[in-house]
Amino acid sequence: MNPFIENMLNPPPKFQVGQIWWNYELKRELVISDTKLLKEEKVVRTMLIGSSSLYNDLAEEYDIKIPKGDTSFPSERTIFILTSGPTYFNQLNVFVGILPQYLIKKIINAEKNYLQFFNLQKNSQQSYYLRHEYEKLFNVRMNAINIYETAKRTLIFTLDQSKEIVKNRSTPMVNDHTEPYRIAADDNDSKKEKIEVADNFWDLELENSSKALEFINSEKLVVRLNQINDVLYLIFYTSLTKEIKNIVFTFNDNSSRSRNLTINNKAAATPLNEIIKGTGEYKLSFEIEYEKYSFDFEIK
Amino acid sequence: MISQDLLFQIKNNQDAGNFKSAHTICERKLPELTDISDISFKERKIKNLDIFYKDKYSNKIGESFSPAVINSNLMGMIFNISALDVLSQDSYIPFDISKANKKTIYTVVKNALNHYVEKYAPHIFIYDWGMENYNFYIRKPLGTGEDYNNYIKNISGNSFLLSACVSLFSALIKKSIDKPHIFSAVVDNSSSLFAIDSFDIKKQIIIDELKDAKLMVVSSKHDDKKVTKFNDFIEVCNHILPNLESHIKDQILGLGKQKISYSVTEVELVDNNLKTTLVEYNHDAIPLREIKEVNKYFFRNTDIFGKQINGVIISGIKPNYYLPTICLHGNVKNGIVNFIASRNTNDDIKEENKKCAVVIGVKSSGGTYEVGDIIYYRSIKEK
Repeated sequence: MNPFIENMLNPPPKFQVGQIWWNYELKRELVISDTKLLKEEKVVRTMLIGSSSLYNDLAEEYDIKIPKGDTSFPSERTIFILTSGPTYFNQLNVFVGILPQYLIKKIINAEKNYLQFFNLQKNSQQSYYLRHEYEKLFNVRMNAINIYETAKRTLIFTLDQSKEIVKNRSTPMVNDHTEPYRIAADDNDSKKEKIEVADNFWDLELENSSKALEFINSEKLVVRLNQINDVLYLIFYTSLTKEIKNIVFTFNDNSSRSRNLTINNKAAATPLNEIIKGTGEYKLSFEIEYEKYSFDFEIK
Repeated sequence: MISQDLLFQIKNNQDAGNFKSAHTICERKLPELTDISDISFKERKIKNLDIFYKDKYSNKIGESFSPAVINSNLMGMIFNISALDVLSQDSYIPFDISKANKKTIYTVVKNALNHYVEKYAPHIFIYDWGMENYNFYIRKPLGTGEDYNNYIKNISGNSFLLSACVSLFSALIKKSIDKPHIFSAVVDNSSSLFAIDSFDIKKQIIIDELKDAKLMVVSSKHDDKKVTKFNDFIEVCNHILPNLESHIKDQILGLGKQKISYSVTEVELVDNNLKTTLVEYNHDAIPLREIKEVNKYFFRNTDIFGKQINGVIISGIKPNYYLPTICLHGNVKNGIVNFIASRNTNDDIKEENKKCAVVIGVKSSGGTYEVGDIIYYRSIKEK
């Protein structure tokens, strides 16, 4: 199979330095140069690869040549290291391939010494010829910066526990369906990392539980809203069931339906940052073993 | 509700990588729980701690473990030292080792590697192991908190040296250690092991984490029957790397960066069809600093020349000063059974597959050849 098509159909399970991705907006290949902000902020750093071998003549001595035959590119190409900047991971659209190890070392070194190289750049013709690429890159970079800022923002909601918790059997209106983003597959290390992240999450949940808004606290079922790492979560602890179904939030007559939650280790959680976006009165309902629960609460 | 104090103890041990200790607290100290959230915590924590424990102590090539004492609370911990020749990933924290200590590690490991290669594969000498390409790291165990750096930043003293030597040795020999041994000893340039500080705390954390103090490898200067004691680094390697002989014999061609080796094959002289022996050396450029060691390798292998009753042709040695060095060695000079010849590639007759050599030494009397004779030979399969 053509290596381009093979790579396109088999993207790696996680982003790593040295991976080359096609970006639809730029119509160019980008190589990942840093992944430190990936986990929390969903942002990686990337460098632009010249669109053809015609760009090779623009290379400065610090730019990185990709020799023909070292990747799936049909000719020698150049990585322009001064184009390094943030990219939202969702904008890495099609997997093209991966650099060999010795070029990955160069990429990491270039990222490390970026400022030094930046200061070296005098009278470069590169930026003149690449100016239209830089203009398009600007949009990609700004998008990533906005995502980064959003991820770092502290939720301003305060939880109000003064509302009386009501249990009834009403059936809410459902007009929205949200599914979380998922990567298609994960390797063994990735699975272990997820266990680590989950372990840390549930430790924090217990630590912060005294500040949570509790809907139910019985021997076999605990339901609460808890703020963890600045994100509001709906938390379930239960030994009654393996699945929480029909979780619906209603706000101003609009309803958002969360995916069904599978109980693991007697617990499950779902983030509400896409559902609870403002202050006001909300209604939560869900179903456990055919029994429907409904609660009103207020976010101030 | 689980007390804050117990939660802190569990977290503190987990963050330091003392997963078994945290597990023990969960099992023994958590009371009969009634809250579903507490029950969930306990079940999850025990399950995850076991995963983290297994991951930490899964033996990888180029890794070993060393105990340390956290000065602030005198708590023991076991940390991993990795020797890697590639750029580190996020979970690897650079371990800054002084030049003097690095030199000691390189000397000790190189001596041990050469000892084993000489013993198990004497026909090969690896004169460049590529050690300088390796750096040392501390692997942050899966499941430890973001503050793991705080636990390891105060590691001081030189008791990690044995562990660093083991990690580098394991990386270069491409073999992992058979069990999660914990190493704690100071090593000097002569490979001797010396005693360490805080022995009791270190021993206790190994008992708490691994249940078996015998897994702690220390200097024999510690008078304690519960730990495993050794005098020098070679003894340690013999203990922790069983089957080293077969491993080296199998893997020798893939080890090291630059090496010299020889092969012995039978060839046939063109003039009289006499079967004679070709000793063919194969090597990369030998740096000047290695001349003495390479000569020692030649001298160790001189017996291959003396055994050849129908003469011997030497090929492949560069630069030219090595050949007289070999021939002047007593075992070679006095042990020529028939003749000794040096390969002369300039006068090969390629179209007839005839290879040329010049006789440079003959037995003292009664031989067929004289010094200066030109001989042609060919491989037997080409006949």
